[in-house]
Amino acid sequence: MRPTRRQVLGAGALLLAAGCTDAAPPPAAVVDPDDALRERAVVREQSLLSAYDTTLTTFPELTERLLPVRTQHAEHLLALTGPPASTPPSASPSTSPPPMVSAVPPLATAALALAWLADAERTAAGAHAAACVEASRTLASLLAALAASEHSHPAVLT
Amino acid sequence: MTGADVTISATTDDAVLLGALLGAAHAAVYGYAVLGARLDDATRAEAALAQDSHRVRRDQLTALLVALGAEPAAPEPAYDVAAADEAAALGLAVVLEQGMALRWRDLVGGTDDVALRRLGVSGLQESALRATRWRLLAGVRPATVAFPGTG
Repeated sequence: MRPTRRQVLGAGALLLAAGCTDAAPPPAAVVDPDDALRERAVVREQSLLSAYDTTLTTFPELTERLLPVRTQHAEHLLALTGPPASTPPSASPSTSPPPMVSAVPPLATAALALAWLADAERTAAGAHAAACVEASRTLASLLAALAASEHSHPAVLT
Repeated sequence: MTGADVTISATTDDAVLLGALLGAAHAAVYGYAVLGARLDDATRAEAALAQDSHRVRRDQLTALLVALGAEPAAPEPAYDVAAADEAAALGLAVVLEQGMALRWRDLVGGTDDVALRRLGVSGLQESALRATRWRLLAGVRPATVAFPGTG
């Protein structure tokens, strides 16, 4: 069974308290479980942003409809990462998760592109919602909002 | 609260959050009855579905509170909601959904119970989608928001 966030944090506090003894492992070994969850959510938002950019480039006539949604994804990304200047460097070397949406969308028609975006939104909504359960309260609250926003986006796409 | 005999590891704080949700659900059930009268047939049918959904949530929240040993609040005799015309009715529907969304999100961010987290996320998604549909019908753009459940 994986340790809970509290157990991990508690272990970290113990390690810090015992930091001077020879037997204590380095406190740097403590990893915030939120980091990986947040990182995967960032990848989902980046993937959606790129899907919208691809669609907007191909179908500029969709701009009025898609731009507000794209803006909301940019807000999601910012909420996950914080302002660019204060983004801390990643604590651990990250392995790149696979992209959430295929690199080559079915862009034959605007209708197909919209359906593709709606699918991507639903997938992201489900993943955000699932991540919610594992996160700290603060991150869970943010992920829940993202899951709900993504869940509502297909209504304006199709 | 004893909580020893419930299937979820909920706390007194969880009961407070669920109580706030139940209050909002009561208001939504009442509010949809008021606003439905101002809508055309097709839209009224959608409002009736929304009202049904809030009834289901109300009953679910009531059952959860009972299971936690808390006293589920009865609905108020009346709520301060009004809708003079269709535009006001659609606006009220958005407000009712936002009221629920706020409390669903409070639940997610205020509990460590996995089942309640899941309930909160699904409730928040449901309310956000309905608010979007009402905004679309009301001609409000953008019809979606970045952070549903934000005050």
